[in-house]
Amino acid sequence: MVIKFRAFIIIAFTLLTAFMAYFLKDLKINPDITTYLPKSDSVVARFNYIGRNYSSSLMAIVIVEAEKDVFTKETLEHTSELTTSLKLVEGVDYVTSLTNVLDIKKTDDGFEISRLIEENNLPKSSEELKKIKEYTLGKKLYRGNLVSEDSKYTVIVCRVNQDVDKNSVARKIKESVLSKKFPEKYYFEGVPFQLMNIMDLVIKDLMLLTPLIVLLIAFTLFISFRTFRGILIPVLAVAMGVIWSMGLMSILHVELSPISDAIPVVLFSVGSAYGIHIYNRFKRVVRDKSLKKEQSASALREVGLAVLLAGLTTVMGFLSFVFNAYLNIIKEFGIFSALGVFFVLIISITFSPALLSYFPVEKTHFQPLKAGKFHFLERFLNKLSAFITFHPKKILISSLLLLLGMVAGIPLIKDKIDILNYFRPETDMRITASIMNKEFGGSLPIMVLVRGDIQNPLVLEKMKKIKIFLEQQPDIKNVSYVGDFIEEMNDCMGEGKKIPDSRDKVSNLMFLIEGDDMLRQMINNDKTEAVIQAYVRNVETKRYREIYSSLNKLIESLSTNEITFTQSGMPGIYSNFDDSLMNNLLQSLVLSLVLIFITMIFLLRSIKSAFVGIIPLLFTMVVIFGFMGYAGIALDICTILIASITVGAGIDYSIHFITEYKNHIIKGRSIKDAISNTILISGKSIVINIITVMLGFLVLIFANLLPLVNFGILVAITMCFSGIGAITILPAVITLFNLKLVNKNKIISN
Amino acid sequence: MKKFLIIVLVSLTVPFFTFFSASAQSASDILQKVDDIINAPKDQFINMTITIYDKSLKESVRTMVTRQKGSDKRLVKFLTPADQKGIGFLSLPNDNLTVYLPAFGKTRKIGSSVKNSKFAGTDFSYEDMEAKRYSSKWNPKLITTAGGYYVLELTPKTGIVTDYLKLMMYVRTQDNYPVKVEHYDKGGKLYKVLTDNKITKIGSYTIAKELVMEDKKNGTKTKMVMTSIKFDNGFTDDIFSERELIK
Repeated sequence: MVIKFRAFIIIAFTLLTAFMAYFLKDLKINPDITTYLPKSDSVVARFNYIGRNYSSSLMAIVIVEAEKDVFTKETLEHTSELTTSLKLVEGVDYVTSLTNVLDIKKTDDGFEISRLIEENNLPKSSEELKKIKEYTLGKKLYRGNLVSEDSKYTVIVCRVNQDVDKNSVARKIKESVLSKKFPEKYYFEGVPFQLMNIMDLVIKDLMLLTPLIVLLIAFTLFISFRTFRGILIPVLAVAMGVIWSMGLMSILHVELSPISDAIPVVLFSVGSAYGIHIYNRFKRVVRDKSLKKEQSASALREVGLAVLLAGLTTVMGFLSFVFNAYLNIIKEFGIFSALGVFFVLIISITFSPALLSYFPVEKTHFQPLKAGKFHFLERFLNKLSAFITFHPKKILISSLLLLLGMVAGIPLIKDKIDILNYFRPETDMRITASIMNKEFGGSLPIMVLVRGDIQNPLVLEKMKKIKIFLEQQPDIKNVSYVGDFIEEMNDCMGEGKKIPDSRDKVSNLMFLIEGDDMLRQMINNDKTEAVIQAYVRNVETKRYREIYSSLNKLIESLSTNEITFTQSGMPGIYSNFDDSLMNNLLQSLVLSLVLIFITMIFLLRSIKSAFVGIIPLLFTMVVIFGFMGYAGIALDICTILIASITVGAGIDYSIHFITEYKNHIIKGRSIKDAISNTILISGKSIVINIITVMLGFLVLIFANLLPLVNFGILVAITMCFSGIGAITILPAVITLFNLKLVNKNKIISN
Repeated sequence: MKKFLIIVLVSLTVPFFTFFSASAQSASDILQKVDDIINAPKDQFINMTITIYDKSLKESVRTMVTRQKGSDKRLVKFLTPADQKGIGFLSLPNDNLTVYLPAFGKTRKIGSSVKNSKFAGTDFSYEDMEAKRYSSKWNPKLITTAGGYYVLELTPKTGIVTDYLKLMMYVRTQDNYPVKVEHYDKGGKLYKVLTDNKITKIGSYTIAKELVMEDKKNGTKTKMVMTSIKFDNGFTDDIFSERELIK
């Protein structure tokens, strides 16, 4: 069929590729971490709500590192100049810094609501500087919040408008700061800068990883086949599949993330196998110029089913983690990788053979079982097949021993859910976060949303209890809430640093600072809703859980009908993320195993074949999880996918092996002969494929996202073990138990 | 001959000087007249409703009563909402601003450095609410006269601390009443726009019964509507005292 309509297929597929390529230009990058989290999680929904309404996700923070002390004439001048110029950056709503922050001071004749440091009257003399330093560090509101305790660092906080391109505003802020060429060091923290960094990382990944994988695959193919078409056919099929998959992303307005930017790498690594198998078979079967068409059709018939099966199982592997992945970006990665594999598969069994059938017959052909001229790989496979057929028990016993050793490693697996740690230590994000952790007590927000009459002193007292609880936690710093201001002003009114005793007093004080930029981050206009915000240090998952559950306990005990407290922030999100990670792993594992087992029964038409085929897979799975435990590779957003990928892609080798083996049995060969032939024919494709896929996935070592790096390493090992399993354990089991896997009638009829 | 030359020279140069001084004179004249017309009443007693609109046009309303004498003494008292009733501000010359909080029964001075803060949550800053003559703070330049308006560009006089780079004032040629003032931030971008609506003549005085301040950066808006106005009430200076503020 394919060969019959080959011209039509080639034209249609080329046009479709051009069509999809056209849309690639519209493919956008989504660098917003907050959108990676599932909206259905109530903690995430609240987090986004607070981010939107209280500006926390809109804060672009410039950290100023002075040589010794920020309280010098020069640094204050520079900070003041930056404060003024950043206010003028398009898209910046307001700027808060040492030189313009609202300060409530007690004075002789009452109090003064003024600026901490007057931008028009900066302290100059050492006496003035010393005085303002002591005053600032003496106030909890500023110490560790605006200025680090050792006064080496200060921050300039810019609130970016909600409806602007935060990435470009962040870039302008950074440019504006760096263009001044002040001697202080500057670091950039907060969601807008994170967006900017991730955007750069995604572009960097795409620009580096994609060409690298293409070159690598082409090189491996050249080494293996040493022909132009041996490189062209697999590479072209995957390149087209990548274009289709990413073009479709663009059409469906799905944006690229730091994970989906690895789709080309995944597709090249996994998908080139289909082209390899097709080409390898054509090379072997199409020998006669005059019978080229017929032989092409027969080559496709022989290998088509195995390739189709192998591809479909991989698609299922990718899809199996889509249904219950916690992060949206994982879902997108799963869906578009699955679609990509599917596209490559379709292209490989239609377009590739159609194109191949136009090529002239190759001069050199595969010559089975002819001694003397064997390639090194063939010699190795020949020895391997001899060993397996004579010593199946040895193979199985040593595999079992390895298996037992690896089982012991599984309980050692840790999990890693802190998104920040997904980035390399040398990235700006990590450096800045470590400064925030060290000098300002943390960079991960934790917040409590309060709903009720905020001006009621009883409500404020309850909020104070939460604030005190948070301050008592060693990993939490910078707790801020509106009560701090109220207490400060109440003190200035001569009533002590405490929550006023009447609602009217609270209301009077609130009136004075109403509309202030800092207040807008703490309370809404109607005074019916407020937030208590603090920052958590990067800690172990267990500690996030403790913080989350103990705070939940406290706020539950404080909530009434009139006033409700709900928690959000990273400890809660990470706790839920952690739960989902384990569930996700188990569910996707079971789902993929069941799906693939059913598919194999259906396609191999034998429960026995399906079961035998899955043996190397189970072996690989134990090996890989044991390896993760021993090597200290944590379970994270990417490595969680290993199980499904192992099942989906690893089964391919067994499928190829069993299909080939059955072909030989049907032809009436003995089990030993069939095994030897299969190891030689499928074995070669499998070994080349293992090398290609391994090298392909190892390209991910250069990825910017650390989970992708680990993912690359693990998939490489996985593919290696499932491939080795398919050409060792599988034939050993078949030999030992004399499994023909084919209905006797079929053999006779042949 | 010498005398003749001098006469010729003088007669030639005088028109130039006159022209230049007439133009400069004209801009400051206009601003002077603006100050005169908006500060014409000896004193004023105004009841006002303030409506604050947030970005989503959600309203919050408050009412207040204002007493003003000349251009630099002002006493403001809030009437509603209930929990803000009685809160008062007293603005006197030399940046002297005092607040009264009835729940505490105490007055406190407010520092002059909060000028760019929002006044009572509105889009007017304390600077915008200052009772001050424009001509004492700004240098005017006549940009154009068209469509029945003088367009003046006001830049701050030396030593004046302000949040704005410049103001663009649109003044009616017929009576020198300002109808619109655009406030530009220090980067030269349009920041706020004050529009005077419902300009009415009450007796011999002209007044805008509605003032709208739009914050172009944040998309918020504040509308001040004068619900009752009384001029020339014979206010003495005693009214603009702390004693009156706490009453």
